[in-house]
Amino acid sequence: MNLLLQLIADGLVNGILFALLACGFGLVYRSARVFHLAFAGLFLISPYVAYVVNVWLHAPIWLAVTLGVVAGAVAGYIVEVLLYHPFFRRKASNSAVMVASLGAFIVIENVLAIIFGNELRTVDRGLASSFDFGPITLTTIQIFQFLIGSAALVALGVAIRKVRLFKAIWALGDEPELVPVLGLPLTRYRKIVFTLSAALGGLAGCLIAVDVGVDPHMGMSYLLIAAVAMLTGGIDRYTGWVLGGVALALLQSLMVWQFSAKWVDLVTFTVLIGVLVVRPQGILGLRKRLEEQ
Amino acid sequence: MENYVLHLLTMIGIYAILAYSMNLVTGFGGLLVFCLAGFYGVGAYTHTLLQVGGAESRLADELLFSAACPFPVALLGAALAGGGAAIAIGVVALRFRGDFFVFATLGFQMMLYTVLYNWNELGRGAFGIYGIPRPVVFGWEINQPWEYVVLVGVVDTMVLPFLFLLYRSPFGLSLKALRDNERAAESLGISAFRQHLSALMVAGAFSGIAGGLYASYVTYIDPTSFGLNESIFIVSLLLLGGSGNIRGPIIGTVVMILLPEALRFVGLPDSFAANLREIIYGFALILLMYWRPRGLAGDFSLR
Repeated sequence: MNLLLQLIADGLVNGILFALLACGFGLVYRSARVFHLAFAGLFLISPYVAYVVNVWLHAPIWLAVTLGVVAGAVAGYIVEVLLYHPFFRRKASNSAVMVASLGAFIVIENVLAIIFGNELRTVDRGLASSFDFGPITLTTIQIFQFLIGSAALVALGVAIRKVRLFKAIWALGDEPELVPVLGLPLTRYRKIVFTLSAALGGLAGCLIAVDVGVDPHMGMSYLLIAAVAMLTGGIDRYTGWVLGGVALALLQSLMVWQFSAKWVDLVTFTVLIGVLVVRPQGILGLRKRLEEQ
Repeated sequence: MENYVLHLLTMIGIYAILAYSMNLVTGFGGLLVFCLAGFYGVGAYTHTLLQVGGAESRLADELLFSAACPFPVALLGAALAGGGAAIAIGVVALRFRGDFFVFATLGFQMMLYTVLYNWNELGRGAFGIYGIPRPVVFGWEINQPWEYVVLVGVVDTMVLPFLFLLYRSPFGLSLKALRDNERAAESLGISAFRQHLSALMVAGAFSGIAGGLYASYVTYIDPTSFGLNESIFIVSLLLLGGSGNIRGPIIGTVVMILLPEALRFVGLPDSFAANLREIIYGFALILLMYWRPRGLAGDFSLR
């Protein structure tokens, strides 16, 4: 029983990280309608920058993570300007953009692999001390992951509710042609979305890297998690993305409890299949009429 | 040098099957799939398990099941398994179109890799299976590189014309109709689900055959040959050559197989030659999608 509680606590911490990734991915998918496969490479840039700052330049870890997130955001901006925007101007089809995005992912992944090598890199953080909460033990790193992650999620949630900019960004996903008609800066919105998404992903990537390290080939399985979390919760709802991420992490914990840790990746795909078959609009999604699709 | 050319010819023969299978689904059906390497891997593993067994095999007790079937039977088994896997993914993924269909196939590809990698009892997981017997076809044992070229050529001449016939058959035409306007085609009584599923099944079965050929050619398989990178490679060779006709895929196959070989002669440092090759593929995909979504000689551009 204690093991289950412990695994649920770990699952919640992971769930916050998955939710961050899902928000980064979902923000782009909801507004720019781009299936952002390059995200799988993009969110790894931040942890590597943090690694460079921390290990090569011996800066403290909070500074490393901050710089990492900033660098990730800049990378997201560059990807939008150099990659997606030309396609958008050309009115390229969704699949073409997706394939190009995949190409960008391959490029980023392999550039990282050439610079940093294929092996796992860990930041210099010393040995983590742990705290007991009744039957549950959490390391300081997990507590930091949870606090920073939920703070970012709450901030984003409030911003999405209250800030007018996000209304326009949501509208961008429904009718992109109408946005310039209303005198709103379409391209600037797209840049903001991609920058913000990369920053969120980069934050999640840094938090993951502080705990377990980072290697250039881990992006795709996290992208799978992010996209499935977004789909599970419902594409249109911010709370759905968070819920999907947490639910996915908890299910993974249950998998570890019942079977073995090596089958964790299978959970993602099973959930994907389950959602596609049972509830294609997601847990909180609203079913659309055919003509709205 | 001679063997090197024969090796390239064999690989082109194997990948031609994959490219033309994918062409049926993508070029005619209009569906981009990222799990062809999955079917390829299922075929390779089935073929191996059906071949590697027997009393004297050292691996017999390490595998979930193994048999010592003759080569043609094993190849048929590989086709059946590949087709079965394609039906399994198709039934689920075909509820969607566009991004989420592609994404579901991508997820399927990654999961298949996880299963092959972690299920040690099935095929020794990451260790792979070695000692796959050389094919014996009706008493003719195939050992030499040129004999493999002949074998792959014979299989190609049986498989590819069948696909070419399919392209021009009512089935192929109905796929084309679905590709161009799905709703209109459905209103004419063509079932999108059924036609797409059949196309996927055919592609899966032929990819399975290609997998069987590959397994018996290299005589050692492990899951890393059938991962997402392989799927991306297959997608890019079809997109480069162009889809929706007969000349596109073969151009793509020849270019994509020979390109890395050409890079080998440029003299890149070995330590990151593989990464550099991947980077070139990545840039090729981006530039192709930007300037020529139809590929070098294609009839159909992704939508």
